[in-house]
Amino acid sequence: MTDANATLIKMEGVKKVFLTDEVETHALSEIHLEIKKGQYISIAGPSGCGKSTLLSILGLLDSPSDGSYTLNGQSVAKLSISERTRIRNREIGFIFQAFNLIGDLTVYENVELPLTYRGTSAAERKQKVQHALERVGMAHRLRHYPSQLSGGQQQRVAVARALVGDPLILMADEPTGNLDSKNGEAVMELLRDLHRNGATVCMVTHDQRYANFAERTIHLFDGRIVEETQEARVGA
Amino acid sequence: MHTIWQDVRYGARMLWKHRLATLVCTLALALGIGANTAMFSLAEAFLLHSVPFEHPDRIVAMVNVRPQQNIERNSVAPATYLDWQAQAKSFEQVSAYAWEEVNLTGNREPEKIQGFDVTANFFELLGVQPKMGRTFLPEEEQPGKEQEIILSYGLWERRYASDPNILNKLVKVDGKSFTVVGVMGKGFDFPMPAEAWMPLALTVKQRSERNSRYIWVLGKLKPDTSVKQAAAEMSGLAQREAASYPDTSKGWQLRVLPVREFASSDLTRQYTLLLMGAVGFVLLIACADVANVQFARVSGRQKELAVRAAMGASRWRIVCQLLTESILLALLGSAAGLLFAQWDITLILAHMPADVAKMVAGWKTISLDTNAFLFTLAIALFSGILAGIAPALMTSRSNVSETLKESGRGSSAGRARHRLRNALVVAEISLSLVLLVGAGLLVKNFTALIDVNEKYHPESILTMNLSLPELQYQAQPGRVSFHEQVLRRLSILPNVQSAAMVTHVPYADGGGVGTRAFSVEGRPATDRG
Repeated sequence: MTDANATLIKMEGVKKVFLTDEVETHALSEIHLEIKKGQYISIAGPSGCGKSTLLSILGLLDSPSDGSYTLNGQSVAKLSISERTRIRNREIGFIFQAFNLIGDLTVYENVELPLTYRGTSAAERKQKVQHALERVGMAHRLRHYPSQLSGGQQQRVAVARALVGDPLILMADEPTGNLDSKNGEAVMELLRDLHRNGATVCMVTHDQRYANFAERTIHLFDGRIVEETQEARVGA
Repeated sequence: MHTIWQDVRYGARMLWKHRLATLVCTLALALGIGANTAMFSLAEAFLLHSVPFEHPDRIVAMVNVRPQQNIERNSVAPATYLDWQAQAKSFEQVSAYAWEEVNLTGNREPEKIQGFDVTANFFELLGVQPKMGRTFLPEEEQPGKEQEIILSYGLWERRYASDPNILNKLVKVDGKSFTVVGVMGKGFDFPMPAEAWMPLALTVKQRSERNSRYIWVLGKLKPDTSVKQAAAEMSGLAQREAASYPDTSKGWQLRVLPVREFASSDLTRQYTLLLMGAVGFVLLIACADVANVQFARVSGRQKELAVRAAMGASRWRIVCQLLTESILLALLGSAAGLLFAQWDITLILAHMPADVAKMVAGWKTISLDTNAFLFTLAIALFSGILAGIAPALMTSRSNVSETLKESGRGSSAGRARHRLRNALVVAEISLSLVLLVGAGLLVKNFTALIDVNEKYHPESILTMNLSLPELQYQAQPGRVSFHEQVLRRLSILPNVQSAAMVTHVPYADGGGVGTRAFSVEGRPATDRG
């Protein structure tokens, strides 16, 4: 059980180097980062600065080439692949730019997906999925397929999927990138609402407007943290 | 359980979504699985059910062989059989039989049937009981007291209209009256193609014969004796006989065969195994086909699989999901394959001439039985896993992070998949070539057989098998006169161009002219070739 304001994520000297055809690309260099429980963090920067790479490492989708990363007091470096998968399933909720809903699954089945990988009972799954969809206002579209929803609705379902397992932290990678401004605003309001209700949110964005929704913004440039804004203003 | 059901539901949905690919894969697997199931049914019949009695594992046949003349199995002399019966310690029982083609006459149309003279303990050794009546008594093995006959079910049904009162009735066998003492159960025709059994009554002179080999010997092993041990003992006995009777034993050796092997010929076994290998290749080709299709389908689902991994699906979980789809495909293929197999078997059974079929051990037991269904299920699972494992493992290994990004980098996993697909194509071509070459050789052999027949125009030649009852035609002048009359009367028939008599019809009984010399009556014998 994590105490309020306890450190959830701590990175020290994290580096990420990609090796492609003998060419080294230093995507991240000397990243020092700390995220406490209940915080709303945005990671901003121009395209190619390493935001998504950093989020992938934070979300255990990728591993750092160097440095240390501690998640909820546990060093990630010592985790096996199956342990990383288990933590991703139970403690991290992902929201992607392209929504990444599975087209052949209904809304219900998409939101249910993380729960099916942890052996939750059918009754509990039903209750959690229903609750998650109600939180994002999509409970009336249970049996629809993603192709039958608008972009904004799909992203809401994706947020419900991220929430359904009561994760420690929500990780959003450009959640408004594929949405128009109206839908983008709606999703950002949703995230802020979730934060107000206690969720820890880490969001990647290249849009300064949406970065300001967070209470703290980390600015990346060429794989390094160049600036950190501690208190965010409320978005216009 | 829920996980499996979920994967099955999703797999079915995906197969339905890609109906064309599913149909192609189902057909490919149906052909492969169907051919294997049909061949399994044949192999089961020929190799496992070649004899129509239970527990054949304890029964062996003891035959003479003559390697220098390529004689792989030959009957033995009566004296040899009696020596073995008296001296062999490895067997609970030893029995014997001899071929005896007889004429049934009387108040019905004369009919030549294949009978066998058997010892009194023959049926007991095999563990079979008659459907009606009894088997032979030991005293009925005495010459002059062997006027009993046991009918096969088929003969009783066909010639005597399944007469329920057939027991103790008299039937004319080669002009002599025999009493029907029993009727065997349906399907029992051992040795093939037995239609009737009579007692084996050896005269004093016959009992001492060592040069005339016409007795086939069976033995039932003692419970604690293996075939190998029995063979070792019999080999010792054979050596002692060779030493005692060098003139009659020269060049002859003994071989002990499990009765299943004895009943089906070496050629049958070899061809059956060869064909099983061939259809196995067909299945491998089908699996490679399906694997390629699966690769194509699964490659288009990289993002979905990456999302699942991001949501917490382990690699093993994703592999299981993909394998479930493959197995579902294989089960669809197996259902269609069973239809193919049934059609194959019906075709094979319908086109085999009855005269040939009755000589093939196990022919009557060919069918799609429970074992065939279980075999089909097993190879469906095997095919599903084989066709799906490579695509599943390759695809589940891809970089989740890169795949989830909008513009993913090119990955080495893509090159590995390409190499594997190329390898599958090479494997398919290689297997297909091997099959084509094998099929070509078989066609060539078959064409050669047909060419031989063409030189003789068999469609214009009618053959008849004639054997005269000893009782009525004891003296040679009588037999010669009969044959001359038959030849004369046949020759003047309106549609007969010419008629002839021969002791052995060319190519009859599965043999060829090459193994026998021939001569024309009244002319000197010619050299072979």
